[in-house]
Amino acid sequence: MALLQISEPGKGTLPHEHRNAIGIDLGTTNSLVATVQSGVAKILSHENQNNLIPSVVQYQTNTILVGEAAKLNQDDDPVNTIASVKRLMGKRFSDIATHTSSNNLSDEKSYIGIATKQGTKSAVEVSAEILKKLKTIAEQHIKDDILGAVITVPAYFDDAQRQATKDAAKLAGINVLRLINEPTAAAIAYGLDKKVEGNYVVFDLGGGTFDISILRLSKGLFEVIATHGDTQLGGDDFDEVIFQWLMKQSTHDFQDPQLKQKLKTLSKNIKEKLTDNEIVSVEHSFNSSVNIKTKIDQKLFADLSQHLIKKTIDATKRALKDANLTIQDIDGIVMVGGSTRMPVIQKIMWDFFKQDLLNDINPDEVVALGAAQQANMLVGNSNDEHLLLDVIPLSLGIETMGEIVERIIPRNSTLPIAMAQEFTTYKDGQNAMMIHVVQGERDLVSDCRSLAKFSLKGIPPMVAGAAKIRVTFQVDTDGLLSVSAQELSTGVQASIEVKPSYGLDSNQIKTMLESSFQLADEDKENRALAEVKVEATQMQEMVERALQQDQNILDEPEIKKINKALDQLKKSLKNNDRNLIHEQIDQLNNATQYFAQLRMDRSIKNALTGRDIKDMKL
Amino acid sequence: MTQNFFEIFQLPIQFNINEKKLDENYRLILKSIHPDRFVNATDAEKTQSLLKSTQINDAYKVLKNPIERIEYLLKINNISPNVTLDNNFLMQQMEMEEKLEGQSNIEQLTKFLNEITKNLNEKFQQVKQQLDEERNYAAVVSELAKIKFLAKLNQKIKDKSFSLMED
Repeated sequence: MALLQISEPGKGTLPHEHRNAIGIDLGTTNSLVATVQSGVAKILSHENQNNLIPSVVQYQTNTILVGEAAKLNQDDDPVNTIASVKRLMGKRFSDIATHTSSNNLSDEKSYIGIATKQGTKSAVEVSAEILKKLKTIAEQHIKDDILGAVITVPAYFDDAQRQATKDAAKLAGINVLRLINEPTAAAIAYGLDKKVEGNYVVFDLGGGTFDISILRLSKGLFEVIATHGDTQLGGDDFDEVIFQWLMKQSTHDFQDPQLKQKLKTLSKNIKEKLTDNEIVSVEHSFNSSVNIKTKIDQKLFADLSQHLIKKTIDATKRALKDANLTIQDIDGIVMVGGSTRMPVIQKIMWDFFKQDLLNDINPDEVVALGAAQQANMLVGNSNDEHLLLDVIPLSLGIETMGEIVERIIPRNSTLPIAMAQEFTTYKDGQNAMMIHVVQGERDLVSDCRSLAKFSLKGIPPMVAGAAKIRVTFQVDTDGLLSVSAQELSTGVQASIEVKPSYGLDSNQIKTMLESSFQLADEDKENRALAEVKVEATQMQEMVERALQQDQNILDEPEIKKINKALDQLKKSLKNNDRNLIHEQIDQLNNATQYFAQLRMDRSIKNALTGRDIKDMKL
Repeated sequence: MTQNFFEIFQLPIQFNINEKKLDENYRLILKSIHPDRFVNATDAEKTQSLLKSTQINDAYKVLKNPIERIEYLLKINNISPNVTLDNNFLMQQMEMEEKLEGQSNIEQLTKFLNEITKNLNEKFQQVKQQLDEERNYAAVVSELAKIKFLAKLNQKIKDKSFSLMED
């Protein structure tokens, strides 16, 4: 479909060609799934009741509960019930400050282990359970095939956290169309992408994360021009403020895990009541000996949360500064996340920007709705022409002598972006080298986040300093890094082995995927074969259509090369050999690289020529 | 892509550019080749879309920034940007750094910032003349070093004002 869109921009697809895609807001506290039906984005609810699926997973001896059911058991089984797992995504044990969570966490080197009745789980696996649940809900509403999903992440998420999110989707069997930033999704839901021009602030205070982003919109192009935030600040912290205050109202120490959990639940209730009430009276007895009787008003709540409010204002100022904008330049403020319902927050934002806030879409749902709209556009259902351009939230650098970071890609660079850097060998015959990539703004390696260590191997042996290795760091539209390397004088492509500092490596993911299929081997093989056949057929159709349209830009040998690869693919489809079909798909991809490149160049030319004609008409 | 950055965006190869046209053409190009337009395409097309969009982003970034634009013009004219600064300017630099050091209120800083910004704009005008009319690329090399210093100082003043406002 994408092929058609290039040659006929602005033409919508036929109704019978509607493709199903979903938007997923994988939140710290709650998750949601949405889709666009008949042109309108709507949340898909669990058993037609709950739109919000609590991001809570309970591991029982033989089953796994997700959502409301797990949340209900949270107070009784706090150890096996995992909440706010998003906070652990892409993190190592050493990253988490004295964690107050009731879960048993362990150091698994590149990730944090969470002890459950079903063994030690990673945050990726727990998130995958939530995603599976959302997928099931979507499948109950959408009877046809679902092509894929747009999943939202905080704009501030670094590479490790984004990769962890993608890995979780992979484990859940979800095809990720794109990871997009939560604030961008919110802006889409408010239809800001339909406006002509403007600068917008998206203030997103969720359950566990806080983001402030500044988006610039001009003529259908949507850019995140600055983003700041705190991955450890959210509604939970406001609960904590009340929790700490409540503790002081009682003589009991609340050390018992169950009692503590109940006090936490009460704290949350009080915070929610403060949304619609100026003052809330608290009268609660936990058991015959532990009682709390007190009250709290907006003023006291604001005072107790002063340090949290300051953090949000500071981040807002910084984002404005990064964007080189002042308060007067801002054309709208979008409020996202359940925690923005708090009157304290609404007031502070109004006082700061002195203008009305965009808050009429349910702040819990707005991100998922926007993600669904984006997914719908990506699969080619809408003739909406907007284009999202995101930036990389944190600078990427490499370790140099003396543990100093050399910045290679500065933050807020528009994605996709690539930077090449040349390295040389320091020993005769040296055939390998290691590159340590870090993310962050500080000068010392130890102050940044280690992303991965790339080992380059297969450098042709030469005297010291003679080899010139060009290493290219590419960050794609999901904000994910990939690295390639080439020795320049010989043209030898060095092979790269990645050791991610965070999360799971590709082998671990593969093992998990395989063990998650509870099918017999034969079924598994049949399913895989069917899938690869579909892929091959789609590819064949796409290439044939492209040839029909643009054969004229190729010379004879190129056309022959592609046709040959096409024939071989068709032949391989007749045999039920999965590996052979895979191989032919790769072959056809290789054979069409140059063709694709030419088509890309021609698209560029056409895009500009189209403009000239328009200009002439004016 | 054998075209240079200016050619990609159909702009004349010179310092003075029509920024509106640059923005407009950047948008039009990206809209036609961005990876978002190739979600259902073959891997080959996805790869090419990613690579080409990366090149376009790079080219746009360079042309959009006047300093990088000067550097790029020197580069495509095979002029090495290395230069030894004249003593005179070195002295001025130190004076300006000291001045920044000594200023501790917003009014002073704002005044200083305006002064530097004016200075910077004059330099750009001068470079425009040298590059686009006199085609005297060699002369630009020493100006470029001064411009870079002023731009950095400009940012430092802004940073200092910002941290003063925060306290």
